[in-house]
Amino acid sequence: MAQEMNPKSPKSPALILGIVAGAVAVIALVALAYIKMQNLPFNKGRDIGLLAVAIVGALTWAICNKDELLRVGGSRGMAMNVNAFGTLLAVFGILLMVNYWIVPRQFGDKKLDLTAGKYYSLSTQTKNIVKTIKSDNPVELFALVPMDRYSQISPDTARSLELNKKRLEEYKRLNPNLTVTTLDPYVSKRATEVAKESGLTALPSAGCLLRFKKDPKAVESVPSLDESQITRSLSKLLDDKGKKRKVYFLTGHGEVAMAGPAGQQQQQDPLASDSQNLAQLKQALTDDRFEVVELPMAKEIPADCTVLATVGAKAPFAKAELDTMRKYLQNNGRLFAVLDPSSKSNLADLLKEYGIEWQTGMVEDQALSVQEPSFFYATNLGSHPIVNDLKKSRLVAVFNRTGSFKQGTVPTEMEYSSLVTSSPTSAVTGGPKGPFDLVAAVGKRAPVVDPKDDKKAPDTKTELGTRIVAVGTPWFLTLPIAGGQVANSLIATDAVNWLSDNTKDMGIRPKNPWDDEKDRKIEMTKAKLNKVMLFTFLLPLLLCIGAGIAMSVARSRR
Amino acid sequence: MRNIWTIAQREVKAYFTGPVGYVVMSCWILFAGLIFYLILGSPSASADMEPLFRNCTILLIMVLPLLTMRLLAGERGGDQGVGTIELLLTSPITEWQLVLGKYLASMLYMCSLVLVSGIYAVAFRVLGKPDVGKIIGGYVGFLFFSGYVLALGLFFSSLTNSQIVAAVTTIVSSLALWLISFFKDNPSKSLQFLAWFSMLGHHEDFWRGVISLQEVVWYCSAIYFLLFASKLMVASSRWR
Repeated sequence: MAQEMNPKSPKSPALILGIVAGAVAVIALVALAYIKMQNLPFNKGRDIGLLAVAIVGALTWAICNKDELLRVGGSRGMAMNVNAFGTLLAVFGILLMVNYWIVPRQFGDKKLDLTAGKYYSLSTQTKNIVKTIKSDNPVELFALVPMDRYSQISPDTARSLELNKKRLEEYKRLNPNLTVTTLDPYVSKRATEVAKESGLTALPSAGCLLRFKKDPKAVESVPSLDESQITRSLSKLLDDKGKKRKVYFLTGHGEVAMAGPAGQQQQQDPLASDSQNLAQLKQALTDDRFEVVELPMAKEIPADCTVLATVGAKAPFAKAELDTMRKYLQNNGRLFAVLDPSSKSNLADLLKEYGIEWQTGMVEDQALSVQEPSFFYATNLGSHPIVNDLKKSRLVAVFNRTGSFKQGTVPTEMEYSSLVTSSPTSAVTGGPKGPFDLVAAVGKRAPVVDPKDDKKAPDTKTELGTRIVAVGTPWFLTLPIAGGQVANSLIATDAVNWLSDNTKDMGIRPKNPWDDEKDRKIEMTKAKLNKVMLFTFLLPLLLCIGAGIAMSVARSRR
Repeated sequence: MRNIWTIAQREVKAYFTGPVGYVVMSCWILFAGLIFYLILGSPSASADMEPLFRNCTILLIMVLPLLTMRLLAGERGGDQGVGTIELLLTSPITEWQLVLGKYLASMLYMCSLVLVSGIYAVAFRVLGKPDVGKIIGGYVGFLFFSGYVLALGLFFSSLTNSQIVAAVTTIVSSLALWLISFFKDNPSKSLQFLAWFSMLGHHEDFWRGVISLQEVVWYCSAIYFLLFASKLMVASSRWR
């Protein structure tokens, strides 16, 4: 009697082959998963080999268990389960594709920033500048983040880094001609290559690097990942070959010096008047691609002068000098005039001709004073291109020993704007009460543009006309503290930008959502806390428990 | 639509005529109130609802499964459930209507919890100068997050006859989905991909006051997927 091999026998070669093949397929899949989890580099022979082993193993297992599979798969319940599972898998696949692939790429920038300071959106200036990058000259941005130290940094720094990383993603979405790559400057091989290509010995340890893809030697190094710094550097990179704008600072009348004596640090006491200088302002203007030049005297103002500045002149100007400046202004000139209330400068006479009237009395504000009444905060920013963005960010200005301005007779076609005003609690010693204009500007009245009219806005210096910005104290520009909520340096640089028609660099400000935490501070007393807890905790809780008991009693009665 | 609304009405009524609704609401007021008290009592207290939102999301993970555990598991009759699933499946309502009706009811109840938490926003407005936009963003995120946990709870409720098992599995899986977000900064791409499935990573923007289309689509997709899976599980009762 011929012995027939029972297919279900434990010794059946098909069954053993099936088990072995299945085990091999599982091992190959686990190995592939391990390689992927460890992020090991792709190895064609190894990876494709393992995949082939897994497929062949699974097929062999299926062939060896063909009868069993057909029997189980043939049942109605199994077929419906498989059908349901397949549908679920298909839906999962579609949703995964939509969420992981389509939406982030196509609609990644669609969002509603509801925060008061629009902290999580790029400014209009940034968007405009990034959009000017052309396809024939693309730009590369390398964000330098040391990943191995990421876990060692403080939670606040980690929060800032996260925020900056998100902002960089937005830069990337704005224009395909800007590529954004994050590199670890210490371990990344690409970082070494980038440094070599750009002719640098090494990349900076933080911040980012901007360069043209076709001309890697044209590099701008940015010390941080802050939007204002990245955008300014990008603007500088794109505009490097453009015409240099020159700001001439007048000297010879006891004006504030451009820089302190060599090696001398700026006074840390914000009230000290000696040794103050404009080094910080000069640096900020240089960063904005201005060339800062000292002009000994205004006998003749150079033709390439974009903005003429006079900061804290102590001695009066000669008549000829005033005439030269008058002539310059009549010829669509731009003047940045910073007056000193303790001096006898006659610059005020020139300003008066343009409707800016100087009031010499020292302004004091007891309610918003910092250390003494003449050293105070001014929180009211006006409505003007120079301060509009700063106002949105709820920034404030700080003044010390300042005079003030008021609107006089303004020439026709020009308008007077108050940029920073003291509070109504301010007063001039022994004189009238505030508010007072501490920074003022005059310029040509903006034409009323009909939205249906295609006519372009004025864009030439002649069309924009004469412009003046006047500040009540030189201290405003020499403030040694910067950043945070204090807008002094931003107002000063934006004033020079506005005077020179360089609106694209205006209003780019450091945006930090944590800056306004001071504003949100709550002063709680014990009595106040108890009252709040009574209304928000005890009463609602008792009401809810009471309602529950009432419902339960009502149910039991039924 | 009428069938969905009828089921939802019945379920909402069940929440407020039974003990579950009041227990959940009391737990919510008790713990959210304590968190609010701790925030206000700290020396660095500020009129910012972000810390409250952050802590309350963990509270939601613990509380919301109590609402969803009975929705479908209760219909099957285990753990003192009513055992009306056969009746429902033979009545002229579709599986989708059943699932959506139950889900809508739990969302409506959830809205009452959100309304109660509105007193904290009012308190912040009275005490300081909160960023209103940030509060609105936080509440929108709160609704999406709750919607996700409720959909997950409904799914687990459709898998089992036991309400306890449904609640525990929902809490455990929600916590697991929460915790995988820590892989976000891991250099491994696979682990980063895994972290993408965590709701925490998709919630940060709402807390900051930013409503991003990407995150809204993610939440809607996740909720749809879980409701679809629940619908399939209800349908499978017919042939199981």
